[in-house]
Amino acid sequence: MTSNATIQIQNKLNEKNESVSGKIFTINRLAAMQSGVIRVMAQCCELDEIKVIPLHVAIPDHTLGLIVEWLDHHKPATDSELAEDTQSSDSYKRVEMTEWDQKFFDDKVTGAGSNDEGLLRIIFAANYLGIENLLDMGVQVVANMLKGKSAEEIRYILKIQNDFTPEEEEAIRAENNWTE
Amino acid sequence: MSTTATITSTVTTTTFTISPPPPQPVPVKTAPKLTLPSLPIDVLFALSSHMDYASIMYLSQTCRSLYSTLNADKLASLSSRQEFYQKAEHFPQHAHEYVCFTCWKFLPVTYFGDTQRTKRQGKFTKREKFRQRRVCFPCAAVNRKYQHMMPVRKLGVKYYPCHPCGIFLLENEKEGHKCYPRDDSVSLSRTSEGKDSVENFLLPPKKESPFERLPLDLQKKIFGYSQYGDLLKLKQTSRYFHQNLNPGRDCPSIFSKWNFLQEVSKDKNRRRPGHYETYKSCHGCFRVLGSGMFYYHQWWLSDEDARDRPGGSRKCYDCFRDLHHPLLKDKERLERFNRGKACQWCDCLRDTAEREEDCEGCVVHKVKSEGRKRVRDARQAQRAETEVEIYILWSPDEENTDIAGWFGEVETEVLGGMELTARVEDKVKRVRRRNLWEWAPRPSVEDKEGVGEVLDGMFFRMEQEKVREARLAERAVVQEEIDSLLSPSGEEGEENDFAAWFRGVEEEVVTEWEETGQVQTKVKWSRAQKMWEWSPRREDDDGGIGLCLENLWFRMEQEVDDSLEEEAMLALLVDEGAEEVSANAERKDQSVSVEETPAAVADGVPAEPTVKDSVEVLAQATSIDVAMATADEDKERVAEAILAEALGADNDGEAGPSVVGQQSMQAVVNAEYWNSQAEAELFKNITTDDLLRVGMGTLEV
Repeated sequence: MTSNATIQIQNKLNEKNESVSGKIFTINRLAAMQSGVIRVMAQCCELDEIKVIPLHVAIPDHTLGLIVEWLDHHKPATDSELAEDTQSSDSYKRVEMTEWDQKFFDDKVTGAGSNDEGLLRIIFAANYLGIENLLDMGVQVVANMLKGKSAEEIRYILKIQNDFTPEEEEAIRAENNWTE
Repeated sequence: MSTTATITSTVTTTTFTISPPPPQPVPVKTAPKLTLPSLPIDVLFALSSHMDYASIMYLSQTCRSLYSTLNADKLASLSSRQEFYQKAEHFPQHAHEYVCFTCWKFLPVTYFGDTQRTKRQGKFTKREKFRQRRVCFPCAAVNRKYQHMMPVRKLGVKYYPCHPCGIFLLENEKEGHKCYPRDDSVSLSRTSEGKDSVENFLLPPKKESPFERLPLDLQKKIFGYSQYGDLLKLKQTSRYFHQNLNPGRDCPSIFSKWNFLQEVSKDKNRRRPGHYETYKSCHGCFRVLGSGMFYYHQWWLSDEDARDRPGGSRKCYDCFRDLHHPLLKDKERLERFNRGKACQWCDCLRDTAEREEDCEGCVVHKVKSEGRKRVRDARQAQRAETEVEIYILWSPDEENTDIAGWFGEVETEVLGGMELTARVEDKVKRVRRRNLWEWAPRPSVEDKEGVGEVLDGMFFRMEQEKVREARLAERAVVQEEIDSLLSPSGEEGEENDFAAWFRGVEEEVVTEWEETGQVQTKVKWSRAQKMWEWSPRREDDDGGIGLCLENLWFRMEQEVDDSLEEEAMLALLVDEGAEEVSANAERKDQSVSVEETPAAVADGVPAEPTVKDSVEVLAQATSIDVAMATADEDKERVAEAILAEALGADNDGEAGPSVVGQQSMQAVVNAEYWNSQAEAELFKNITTDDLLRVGMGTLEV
């Protein structure tokens, strides 16, 4: 199979949600094989001669589009390189983020105009699709968002509702006074 | 009877024979086998009455029959049950739980009030009878363990039990809370509701934010990438994270924990003034805790005591129990703790299970040193550019060397759109000084105070010059105004009104300010300063006309203050001419009467000086005989002469103060300055207006 071969992925259709419209994405085969789920399903589809690979979890079209873009950019050149990339790696082993990745997350995922939950959706979808490198990068971005922030700032950034009572909050602050 | 069947196939023939079943043995009637489950229930109960709680419970678990028959909770004695639960409390699986001896449940610490799990009712107390009184919050609400609306602390927070409602209230809920009247028929339902509400309060909270809704394994992954300090902050954001996030457990990086603790320990003096000796760090759970959380010998362990563990090996109660208790120790945790050793390269704490090249401390040091190198390179590059620029500016071949313009550009660069505040200005100056000193070309490297210092001084001189020029320009304007007011060559009939000029100055200053006492004082001060500085005088005359003018102005203001009544002031101004005439007449009479009554002089009481006296003194100084001037023309001439002398115009018409005029004015100044009573009184009533009126012939002498 040539490196220019493409496969098609069909998003799940959800009639109640307009953002999940069952759209079909065409992607390079090698790029798509970075996803563990697609890799397994493609093998099954080849056996059954199915043209389009269906996804069983509703991922918003916008998010899936971003994931396809990321996969295209990180496309391995050959099958052997793909095999090296998809080998299991140590947990908490940091993936090097290139400038393109930084810009991708800054502008398209967490930047202006994007949904507040965009980053977490990317992480969720990467986890479902088994794209380890994208998942690691997303997790790193979230961890960097927490870095050096106070509790108030973290609440604002991650839209966490403060459900402590004033007394509880005071007690927690006193308990963690040594960290400030 | 037997049946035989033959199955024949086309290929092979196989014969199956189905034989009849063998004859069953005839059952022999024997006594049934006696087992414990088969004992009568009363026998079992009798048996269990001799057993303790644990034995009954274990017996009941042996088979279905006994499980349905024996209920250890009901059959065992209370004392044996309490004894068993006290032992079970120390089992490893219950290491972080406490028993409620009312509902007999193992519950986490959040279910108990502070007094229920510490001191006499704590887990490790020797007095069992106190320990057996421990009760959880829901049971306390139902059974009214605490007094109505008396505060009970749980994890430091005050709760107020409401007996009729059977619930605990927080401080903010207490104020608006309405209790229902006590009614036995509804009390049960109310209390059960109360119990539910308390339990609901203690249940894990709902997940609200998208981050909280992420699957737990993804959350753990994010925690794994985060720093220990950040997780401590995240734990404080919501109830969900407070209950589900354990930074010590969820942060995998031992270096992150160790580094955070080192940074906190460095700043402990600053962060906790006066509490230096009451808080120390636990190197087991990486927290800073009070002295009450350590055993005595652990508390006094020095940070340098640890053999190969940087930062120390002090452990709090909980960590000590988890790591060293013979029964309760967590072996995995102990192993993890023992793996923490000092890195031989960077002296940080690292996990020896990892490879040496993965030491996070080394990575951090490397990144930091690379960052410093990058900054140094950028600074050197910038310096090289600036050196070239300065060389061009200072080159003798170049014409129109614009140092000031170059400094302006530097300033704009540094400011870069920031608001120009005093602080920024200081910063700019500091940066500029440093750059000047560092970058300016100098003859040799050893010449530390070379051309850079020269440039520095030059720049500040330029700045000072700008200020001086602005000040001189302002002064010139005011000088011109004063000159026009003081000019004797003013047109005839035009009055030189000092008072009006000063009021104008005052209005200018006060226009946009509310006229308060403070502002008035400021205005006076600045005006006096300006008058002293700007009024015409000789160069060596420090206390010259400026001071005279100042006194003049203050006297005018005092006069205004004394009058107080505005109407009287207006009337006085309107009838100024008439009043002056009458006043002069009175003064004349008084002078005559004083002259005619030498007794008054003999009494030692100084006579009140009059205008006439003052003018006579001046006339003596100018050697003009005032008494001889009888005709109006003569009076006018004399007055003009006096005025001309006083204002410093010579008879020739040349400008400049005459010696006599200066002497007379100096006399006035000296009188004021030395506070000489007699002389001051003598000259006090002479005002410039008087002198002018004398000059215009409107005042009778």
